[in-house]
Amino acid sequence: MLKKTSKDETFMESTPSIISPVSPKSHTVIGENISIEGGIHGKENLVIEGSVKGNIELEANHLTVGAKGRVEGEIQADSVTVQGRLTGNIKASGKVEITKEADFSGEIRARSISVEDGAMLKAVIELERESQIKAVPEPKAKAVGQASPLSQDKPTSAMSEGVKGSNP
Amino acid sequence: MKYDTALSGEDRITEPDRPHHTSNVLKEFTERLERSQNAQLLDLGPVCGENINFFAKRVKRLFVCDMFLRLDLACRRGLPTTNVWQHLDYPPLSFDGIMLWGLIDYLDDSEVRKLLDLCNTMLKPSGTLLAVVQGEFTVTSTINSYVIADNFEVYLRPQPHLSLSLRTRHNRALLTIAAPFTPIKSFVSRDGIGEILLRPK
Repeated sequence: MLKKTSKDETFMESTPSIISPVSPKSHTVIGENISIEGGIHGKENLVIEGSVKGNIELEANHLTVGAKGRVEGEIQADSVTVQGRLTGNIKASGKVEITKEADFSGEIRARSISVEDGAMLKAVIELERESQIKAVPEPKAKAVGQASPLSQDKPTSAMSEGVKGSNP
Repeated sequence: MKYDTALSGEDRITEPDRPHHTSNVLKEFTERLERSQNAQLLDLGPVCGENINFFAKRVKRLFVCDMFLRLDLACRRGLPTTNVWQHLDYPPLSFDGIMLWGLIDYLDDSEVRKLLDLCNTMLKPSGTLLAVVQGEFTVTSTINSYVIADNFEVYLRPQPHLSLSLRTRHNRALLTIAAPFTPIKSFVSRDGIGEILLRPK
């Protein structure tokens, strides 16, 4: 792997881990002046500040697309933080975090998600649902009209509740 | 944190962290979505983490396409806003629900018509459209997200990164523009915020 240069962030490095090569704290950084085309598979956390075109598989680890990072590809990781630009689909067994600087386009499948105000999103999000569909009873009138979707909802006049006529 | 309101003399909501009203319109919208095991929902922004979590746990697939940011970006760059609608390139009859959290307030009539036509195309016949508008009274010129809290309470949170011209309109004018839809339920809060649930005719 590339080693860290003296001052700048242009490096691709695996930080040393004394106890285990897969220590939770070990991570690799792809610096902002690095471009990679091709897939990445690893077993440690990864921070991308550069450009990556290709699929990334980290399985049980964390991926961070840094504020200057640009990624195009399919992502599979335990958890993902997007601060930069990511175009592609994310499949995470844990949490996906989208920060306000992020520009994300793609699908997200995850256990949970957090999104900051200001994030640029064009996304399809699928989370693990807390419970399957709640038993919301169908009103009797709707059960009769099931044959026609349009007949399910009897329209009522505007301002059907609340402050009628206060703001017609 | 407080922000200015255009009207005075009434108890306006000034604390974005405090829920300001319970939305029965939102409750009905949500219940309709929950009746479907594979509901697909489209949120047109502003992006709001709480709302994403609220709905992503209740529908099969939540689509988010923040039109506020795209309109804001087009305006800042001096580009025509007509091009932003190309981002709504979803197939017809895709969605069981579409949410317009205040977006209509920042569009002129022709843009509202275009947007509603698109929504009409994207909605399933049994789908519903939730529109939140400021109505004829301007509550605030600040763009807010309508944040869902517990028990269908909704409060406002300013979005200072967005800057769009406010174009409030009379509710009747809105219903005229929304001709492709039939109103199911509506509500006007003390603060002048209107919530309307619509379905395709």
